[in-house]
Amino acid sequence: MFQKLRSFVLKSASPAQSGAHASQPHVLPLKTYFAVFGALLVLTVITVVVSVVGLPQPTAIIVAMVVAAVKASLVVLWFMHLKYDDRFYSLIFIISLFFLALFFIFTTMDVLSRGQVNEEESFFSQDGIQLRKDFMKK
Amino acid sequence: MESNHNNVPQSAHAASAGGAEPNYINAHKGIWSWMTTVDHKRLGLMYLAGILTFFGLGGIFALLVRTQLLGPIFGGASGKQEWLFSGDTYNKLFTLHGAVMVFLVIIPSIPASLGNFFLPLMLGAKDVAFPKLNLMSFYVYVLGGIFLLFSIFTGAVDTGWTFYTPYSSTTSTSVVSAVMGVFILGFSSILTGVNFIVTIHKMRAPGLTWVRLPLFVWAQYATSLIQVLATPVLAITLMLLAIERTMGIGIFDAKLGGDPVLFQHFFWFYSHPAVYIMILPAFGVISEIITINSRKQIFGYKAIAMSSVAIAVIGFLVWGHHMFTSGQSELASAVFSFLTFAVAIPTAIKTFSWVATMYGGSLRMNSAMWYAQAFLFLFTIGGLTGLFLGTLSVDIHLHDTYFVVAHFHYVMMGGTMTAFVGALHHWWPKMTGRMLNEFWGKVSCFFVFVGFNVTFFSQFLLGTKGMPRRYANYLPEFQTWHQISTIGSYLLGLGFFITLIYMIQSLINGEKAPKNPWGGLSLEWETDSPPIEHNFHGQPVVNHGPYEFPEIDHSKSNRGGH
Amino acid sequence: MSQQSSHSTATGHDHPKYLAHHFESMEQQNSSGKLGMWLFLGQEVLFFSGLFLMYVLARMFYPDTFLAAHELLDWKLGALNTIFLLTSSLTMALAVRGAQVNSQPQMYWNIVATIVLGGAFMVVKYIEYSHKFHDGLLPGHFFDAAKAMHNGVPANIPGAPAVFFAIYFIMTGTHGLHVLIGMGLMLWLLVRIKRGDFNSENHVYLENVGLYWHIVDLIWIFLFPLLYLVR
Repeated sequence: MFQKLRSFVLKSASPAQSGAHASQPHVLPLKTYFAVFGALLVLTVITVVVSVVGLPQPTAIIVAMVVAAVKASLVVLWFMHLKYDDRFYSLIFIISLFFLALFFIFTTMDVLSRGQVNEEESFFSQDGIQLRKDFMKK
Repeated sequence: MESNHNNVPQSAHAASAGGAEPNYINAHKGIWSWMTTVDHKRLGLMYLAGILTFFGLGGIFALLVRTQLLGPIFGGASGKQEWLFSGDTYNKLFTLHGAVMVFLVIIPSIPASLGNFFLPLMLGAKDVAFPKLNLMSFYVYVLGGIFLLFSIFTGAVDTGWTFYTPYSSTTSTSVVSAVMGVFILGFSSILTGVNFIVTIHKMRAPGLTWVRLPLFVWAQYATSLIQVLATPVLAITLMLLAIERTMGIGIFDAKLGGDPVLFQHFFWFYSHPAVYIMILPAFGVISEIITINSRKQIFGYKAIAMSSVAIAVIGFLVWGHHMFTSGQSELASAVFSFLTFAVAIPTAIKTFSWVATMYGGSLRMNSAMWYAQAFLFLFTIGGLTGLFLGTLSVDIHLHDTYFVVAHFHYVMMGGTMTAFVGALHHWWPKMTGRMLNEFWGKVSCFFVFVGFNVTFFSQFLLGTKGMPRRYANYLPEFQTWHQISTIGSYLLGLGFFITLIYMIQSLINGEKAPKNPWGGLSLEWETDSPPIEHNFHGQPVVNHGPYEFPEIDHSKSNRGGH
Repeated sequence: MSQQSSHSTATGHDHPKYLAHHFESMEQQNSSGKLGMWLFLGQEVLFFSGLFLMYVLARMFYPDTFLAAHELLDWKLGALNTIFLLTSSLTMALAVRGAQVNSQPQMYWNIVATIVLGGAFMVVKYIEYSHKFHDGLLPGHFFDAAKAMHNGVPANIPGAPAVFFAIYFIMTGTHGLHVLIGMGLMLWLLVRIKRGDFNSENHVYLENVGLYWHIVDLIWIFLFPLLYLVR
């Protein structure tokens, strides 16, 4: 199982001994680039329109982030060629996103769960909310 | 695996005499050739010189700190609180000790010096993947060191190496200069990590599959993963701290609308994985030293290799165990405490495997092996006490006491630095072409081991009795153990000083080293001692693992102290 | 997989002059370069992660502030900048394609276009920043509500506007710095393209600058809605 996982991930990450197979660059047709660009423009318009229309939170932010994620995927897969490249590069990218998510989730979890033992520490406690409001008045 | 003959190194290529070819040290002359070198071996040596120098500097700060703590305390009627340094100066001393040791010494220690030197050799390559980037990493290291040390002259820093807000965002000491130095040092770390990962993936010799790699390489790979993924978060943390100080933006300072615990989350997200950057290469070194000096296949190769990667990953999940008493939520604390237990498991796998490797082996007790034994003892204590600290309920009492100080010194110094010095002994013949004096090597190991335990075991006791850390003075009841601890630190310093002496002596007129004094089977032992500039006389090809020692050693290789 | 028998690489090898001495083949050199770059991009993602986390938590702490303060940002300029960067990503990708098909002019002019678009982005950024300076909408200590009001800007924002503008400047500033670095790298690319350094077999340096530029674009794709389009 270890071997299969290794060979899947390291599909093209060949060290010196792979011999002289010169990798021809994988050239995408021009229209692919323009199609991706067109999609990006359309999605940008959608982002702005959705915002102007004014959905309620949290729907608005979720929609905005989903659209941004789609745009990002287009850039990453086609402009950055990840769709056609060595799978290992995708793994690196996904791993960094994974650790980013870890950082976000654990930290936010801490902030949101304060106050289980001492009511006043809670992010949502009346004291906490009042403190933030008071701070605001400065 | 096919049967092996005695001590045939991994490469099937018979080494040619290589007589007249100069080695990497005398291949090019002059200081400019060193300053512009892209040879990984020269860079490794230059890093080594820097690291050892900073180790000496950090050690001096430590001795000053310990000397302060010899002293009597409350001056009674005179009100004089500290006998040697003022409280402010003391704060600066321990801060500098920590910052220098963590960022200038331990994090680069094994990777930048020995990793640089030996990775390409172990892989059968001519150099790392990006030699010019390697040179740049070195200069970035020097530049970061300059910034960090420059802060000493502009008022130093008194926040502790952890730079906690809101003190660090409001104190008048030179925090910005110091954090800029650390920011820059972080880049050196990142670039080295990138270089190593690519080198290991792309530059292995023919036949050198992943499961034939020396475990030092696996360890270095896991370390590099952490360096690349964790260090940028430190960079952004310090950048935000500097901006908070200068512009008062209100992210980390409650008075300005921020959350100080957030700083701690940001800081420890890097700094916990950082301690695995410190220890993983040491684990790799121990695997090498123990197998070669037990003449035996390592017990559990795949377990050790995979556990390095497991530690790297799990290490990212536990940072909140530094924050149990900080105001972090109880839920988060419980989660982090639970996950902290998980990271102990792969570590224990390694420790058991090393001991199992030695069992039934034919032990050669040279200095390197003695240092490896010291490592096993000291790191085990350090690791186990880490479990005490990871236990949430216990940590409430032990947090910020000397127990913590003792724990991390056991793992960082008893672990990493012991392994580092052992590795220097192990690879010295290869790097310099000279042998080290075995007798004095064992003497220094003895002083280091005894001195270390006297210094730091006392601190476990101090911690459980309640002595807080980072205090310039203390209650009378703590004095005896503090004084014992200080005596120990002088012994420890003596041990390292002896090491310095015989290392210099070896360079001047040490016995010439053969290519393979310890009978190793990994590729670095096939090169000359010291190696030629391009490492190998031809392309090495590998057809067996690095630890396939014969059961009984028939060779006439040098054996010290069997 | 054929095992190479050991032989010296110095004899009889077809060694293009752009193959570094420590590599055995162009394939090894190219894939090493790209792998290194992707690792570097991984760390860039984590570098910006801290800034995005800071944004998330500050927005959670001060939702009213974010709602009110973002009105003071001009979303049209933000959208314009988005268009500039997306187009520059296109031209950059086309430049790389130009290298793949061995076309000097395609490489050269697409990089020029990318630089111009990056420059346009920075000009718009400069306009935005100078408005903020003029109106006292600055980070932290420097936030001056009175000056803003005096200029007719509705800066009676509840909460912690200093924090909002701090986040605005730090995030867009760090991003802008990366844009400038990218433009610098591209100027150097122009020099190398003119020198004839790149062809279909050897253009990993160009590709890597491209990857860097796309990441910079990626960051902006998220920055734009988060800063300018909060509703």
